[in-house]
Amino acid sequence: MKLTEYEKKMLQGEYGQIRAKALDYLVQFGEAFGAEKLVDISYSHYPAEMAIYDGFCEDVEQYANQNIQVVVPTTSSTLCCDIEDPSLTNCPSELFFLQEKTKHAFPKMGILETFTCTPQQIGFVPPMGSYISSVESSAIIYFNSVLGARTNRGGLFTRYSSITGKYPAMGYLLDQNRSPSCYCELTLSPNDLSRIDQWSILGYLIGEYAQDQVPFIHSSNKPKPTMSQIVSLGAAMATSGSVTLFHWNGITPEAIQYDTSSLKDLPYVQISKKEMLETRAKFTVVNENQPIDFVVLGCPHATLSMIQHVATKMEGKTIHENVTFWICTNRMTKLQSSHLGFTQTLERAGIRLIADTCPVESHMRSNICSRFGVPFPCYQTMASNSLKMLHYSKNLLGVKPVLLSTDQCIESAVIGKRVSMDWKEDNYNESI
Amino acid sequence: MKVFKGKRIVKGSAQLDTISAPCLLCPHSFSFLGDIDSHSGKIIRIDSPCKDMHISQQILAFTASKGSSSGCVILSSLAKEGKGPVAIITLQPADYNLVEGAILGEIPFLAEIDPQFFKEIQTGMQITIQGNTCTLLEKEQ
Repeated sequence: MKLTEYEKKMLQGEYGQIRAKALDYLVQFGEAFGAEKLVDISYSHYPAEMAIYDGFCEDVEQYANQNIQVVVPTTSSTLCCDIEDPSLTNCPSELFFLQEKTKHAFPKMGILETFTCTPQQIGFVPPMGSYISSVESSAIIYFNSVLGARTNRGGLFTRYSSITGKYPAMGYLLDQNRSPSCYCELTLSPNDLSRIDQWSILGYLIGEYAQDQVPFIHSSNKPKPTMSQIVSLGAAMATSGSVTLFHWNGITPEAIQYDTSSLKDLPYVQISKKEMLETRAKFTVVNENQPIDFVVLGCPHATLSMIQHVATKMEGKTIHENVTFWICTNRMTKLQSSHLGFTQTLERAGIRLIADTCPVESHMRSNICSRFGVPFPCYQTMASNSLKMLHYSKNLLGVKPVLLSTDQCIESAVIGKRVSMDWKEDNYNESI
Repeated sequence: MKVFKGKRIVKGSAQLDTISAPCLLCPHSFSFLGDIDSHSGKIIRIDSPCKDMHISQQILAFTASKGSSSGCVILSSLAKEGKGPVAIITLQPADYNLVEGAILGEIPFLAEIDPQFFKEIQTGMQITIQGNTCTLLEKEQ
């Protein structure tokens, strides 16, 4: 790999041994994939360093104590609890104390305490064409596809990019790897794509087909997805597959480069309402009127608009006494929600607005429950509008999944039972 | 002897150019978040033929890496605890996220293996990875 004089000096330790080691890892990584050079990144979304994984909080504490700082704007991903109020998720105190190390370490390193899977919803929107380094598969696919920024599926090496400002020029950073490699034709009506859960199902089906390819999506209808819908679409694609980038004519910025007729020779799949309903059935294993004890919205983290919608619907009502209802979001949105009075309305209704985390990243996994003496599973049946949440919770939290629309989740929470699953539009118009 | 060619993405520990171990073959794509217990290395995916098997001391083979970017964290965490696989083989090109975990855990990674591998190898067969190839001795067939 060809290095600049500055990079060579960094590798030789002129900017400290920690940076030298970090750059050495990035060079090894780039050489494994035949990268010819490193590029400068302009933004990084840093790993969660969650307490549920052994040694990670200690690592970041040690890193911070060596006075190492990030060199590009850096946001941080989710933790294993709401760090301001761990009682909201019943987080075991020992786990919370461990997780707190992260809270102290990140500011020392210059990392912003955003603790979210959706940094794009709080203003971190890197410009088209910019090189970035990011964890969190739903944010990665959004950055690449919706914004046209460039990142691979980042992991722990995002640490090294944050403190060196470098990443190997490879994968989705390069023009030649961003072309469509499979084609998805949608035969869906506007009614099939009017709700978040429907966008989530569509993403899951595309991800199952595309796996690690770059799908080009075509629909004769021209849907105009909201923020939550397009985020749900990408999150699900990166759950059933490892899709990092997709193109959709009229929706994503790079799609215009491709002539639709010339893509017809690519591997091809057609997706209709039939496949959508089959997938929904796989993730809805509880019959109508059967009890539901856990309702989760906010995977990926909820927008202020979604919170407003739930608060408005729940004004003067309460959820069933056997139901726990979480809305997961980021701390900035939670602050806005409290400022506008939505949090208080939700609390009166018995709903918990939780920042920094989500059920899958919490202590509720079987191995963490057994470590802290928490009975497993914590809940029997989870209703959500997110296939990403249900896909992971089925195995990790041992719950029976129930995929519902946003409004059906709310209505099920009120009566404590699964409501009827029609396919009609929710009474929810996302404004922001 | 049967030889299957692949592309060695991660060499692994310097002492380990040749790795011999039983294969744990998952004939499906694999997500380290959700498909495996991150503390014990036991496969927990409900619909996997490898459910309840442990990846430790095995050469883990699967078609493609998918899912959450926590995959890298879980792989390197398992390696740190000595519960990771001794090597990884995939049919599809290597996933950047998982390769990060393999570099940190010094786990050899052989990607783009000859598709014949998934037809001829079964879980439990002793296989050997050397350089860009994976070998099955005749007596193991």
